[in-house]
Amino acid sequence: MKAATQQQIRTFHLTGLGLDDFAPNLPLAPLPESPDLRELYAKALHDQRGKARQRFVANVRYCRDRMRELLSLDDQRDPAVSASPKSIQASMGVASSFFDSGSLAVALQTTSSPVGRMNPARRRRCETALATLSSAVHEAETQPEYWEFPAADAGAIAFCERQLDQLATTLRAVRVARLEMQSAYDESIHDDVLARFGWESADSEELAAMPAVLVIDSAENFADRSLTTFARLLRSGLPMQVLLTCSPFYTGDLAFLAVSHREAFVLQSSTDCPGHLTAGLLDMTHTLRPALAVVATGDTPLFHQSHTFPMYVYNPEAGEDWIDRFHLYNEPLPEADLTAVHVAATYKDWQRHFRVLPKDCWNDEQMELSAYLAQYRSAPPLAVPYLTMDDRRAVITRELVQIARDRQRAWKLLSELAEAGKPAPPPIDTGKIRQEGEKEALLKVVSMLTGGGVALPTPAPVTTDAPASAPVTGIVADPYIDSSLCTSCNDCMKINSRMFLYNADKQAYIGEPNAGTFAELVKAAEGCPARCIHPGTPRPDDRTATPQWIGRAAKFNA
Amino acid sequence: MVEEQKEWEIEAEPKVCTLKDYQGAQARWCPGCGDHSVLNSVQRLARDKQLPPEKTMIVSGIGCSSRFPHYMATYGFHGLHGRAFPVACGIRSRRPDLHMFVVTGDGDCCAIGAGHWIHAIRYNMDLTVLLLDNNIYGLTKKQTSPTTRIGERSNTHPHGSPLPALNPLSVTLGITNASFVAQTVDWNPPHLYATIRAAFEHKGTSFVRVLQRCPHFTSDIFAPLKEDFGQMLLLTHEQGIQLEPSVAKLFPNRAGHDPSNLDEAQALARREDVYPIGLYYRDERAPRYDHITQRTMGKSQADKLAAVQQAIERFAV
Repeated sequence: MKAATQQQIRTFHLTGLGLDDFAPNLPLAPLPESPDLRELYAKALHDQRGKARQRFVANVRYCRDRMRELLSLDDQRDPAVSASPKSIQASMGVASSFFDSGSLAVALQTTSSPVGRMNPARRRRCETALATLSSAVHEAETQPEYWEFPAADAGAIAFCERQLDQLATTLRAVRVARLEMQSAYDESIHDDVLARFGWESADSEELAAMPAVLVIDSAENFADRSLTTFARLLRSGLPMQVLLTCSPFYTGDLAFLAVSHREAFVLQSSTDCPGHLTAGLLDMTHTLRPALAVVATGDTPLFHQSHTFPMYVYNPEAGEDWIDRFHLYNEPLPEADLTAVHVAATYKDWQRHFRVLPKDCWNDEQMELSAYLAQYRSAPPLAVPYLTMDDRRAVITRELVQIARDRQRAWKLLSELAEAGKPAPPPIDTGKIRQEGEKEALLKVVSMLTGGGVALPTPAPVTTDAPASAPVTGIVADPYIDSSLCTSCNDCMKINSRMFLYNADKQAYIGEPNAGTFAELVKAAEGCPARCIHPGTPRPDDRTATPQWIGRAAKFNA
Repeated sequence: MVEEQKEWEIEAEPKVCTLKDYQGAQARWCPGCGDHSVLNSVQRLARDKQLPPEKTMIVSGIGCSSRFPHYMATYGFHGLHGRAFPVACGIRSRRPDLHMFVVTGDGDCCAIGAGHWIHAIRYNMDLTVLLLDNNIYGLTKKQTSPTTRIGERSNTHPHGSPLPALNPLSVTLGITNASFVAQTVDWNPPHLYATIRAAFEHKGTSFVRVLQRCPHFTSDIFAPLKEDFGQMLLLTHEQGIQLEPSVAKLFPNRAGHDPSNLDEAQALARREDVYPIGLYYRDERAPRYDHITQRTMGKSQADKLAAVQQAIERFAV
């Protein structure tokens, strides 16, 4: 093998051509296959929305059945039906053998007037609602948990809008049914309200019951085909979800584009970190706003450790502040200065970007990658970057170096953003820490010596108007209730319903000892018919800890 | 229209009932009333025994205590004054499958309902009877009841009740065929629960007198007992009410009493120096009238109809 000239090495660096004799001698693997995320997504969706869907369908069914009952009740009021010999016979059971149901029917039909029947408008309304609800129940049975589209085109958006309109129609019928069940439908109010009822008025539980509309595609395809509708979708507020797959070397930053739309849910994650991915998909399927997930097909944590593929979540539902919404996943690097180049070196697909040079080809123009990147400001340094591998150098094409640099810069920006809004750590007061440590140690020792039943008080703040609380010098005994003796008489709850709570046996216990005063504890103990409240001793900061109250408490602590 | 499908209906899974499943309306008794304690014990018993709410029946008459069925999320019958027993016997005579409690008060049971009380005890149908005895008519605002102690002032006797109080325990023990008589107090839930549980487990009419505080009208009557457990006598026996040792320790006075000994039970019931609490008397072999009423006479529906028809025709004009 003849030595490579400086010119040849430079040409390879700039163009990726030449130096064919110096094939890389690296442990190579093919890039991981694009994963099938459908299953993971479907599981997350089922977890998040399955229950809501069941409840919704049960509700629709309930309303449908009640509408049916209402209408059949109305039918019964028709004398032609209710006073027929057959129904008279049925209503009398065994006693019907004593009567001639035929002549009874004649008698009843001639005397009864059609009182109490629904007015025709109401009847029509009920019938319409029933028809809508019946078909909604039928549809709910046949619909999948999500509808899948290959691209976020206008067709998908229109489909989503149609689904929402249908949901709104069903919800209108549910509301009509609920009102009619209680005979509370007031045409002067509800006609107008329901006419203006759209899917935006539905609550989140109802929206979650609609099958999700999912666009699933590769990030590259999506960027080519759907970018214009993508912007429209993100702004629309429609509950549509987009799931994109990409290579871990993907540099498109589609997810960041979506973050800039502010009100969409965005997840960028990778299959090499299942915890992050699953949690992200659960959040995504929970949200009812436009949502985008870009999932890379990593098979090693090196992708995010080297910051080649940053993973983050932007969830507008998590809060109003940027700091609540944006979370960058940051795992510390196993080694410093790991870059996309290092990761690429282990994959067959990136083989053409590396050439391993023997020692005799080394020269001063070559520069270690980290130094190269450090010196790369506005223009690249005049050098050929290389990776050191044992005692060899692998020179790298500029194309790959550019990718690594781009990823580094992207990471820098993201990590700066992730820090934005975080409060600066407070200056450390070593004296205070030591003091607190000593106090804690003291507490532990006292608690050990007294069998753990008592806690040492924190020193009382010296206040001028504090009573001269004579007995409050030593140990605070916590108040407690002998719950098994409680007679559930509600007496203590009347005094303080936060301090006294009921357990699963509906017997009282001290819920929040700090929610009330010592005086309230003593009053409750005095009123307790079962004598099961023991007020203990007052907290040092309790203003009601007067000698009188402490004296009254004494017999309940004995 | 879509066809009805059965699987749309709610599937019936075996349900584990919690206390919530037995809690009906918000109890409107006064805070501090002893009835709360009894209600809680019955609800806990129902939960611990997993009584199906739809197979549980609370029958009551009229009075504070008789509001009980409203506060249980089971079936209930809030009857007429003094008529808890006949209603309960009527139900029991046809429904051996129900778990039945009768909740009555001292006015309801021992005054206007006394006739029914005697015969219900004699019938010995399978009923758990809780007599909530607060020694006063509370719902109608403090009138003398049969169990009001002599000298106790009330709106009907402003100078004090002139007669000695009726003793519901000695009366019940005196009724032929009585099969279970016990006394407990509302302010000791473990004893109350154990007593109601034993009563529920007894097959036959189990009569439990619960000494019950009325914080409004007779707060002074049981206050001394509440303060000083020495005024009660805990009856202990291997056949009696079983208590945790830690709870039994609360009672300084304890005495063994064999619940099969009727004479000793009568003597205990008549004691005036202390309130003996626990099981006074139990007889598992006492005959039950519901065994007879639930036996059919082998007649079919048509036979019965024909018999009714025949009876009606006797009056035909």
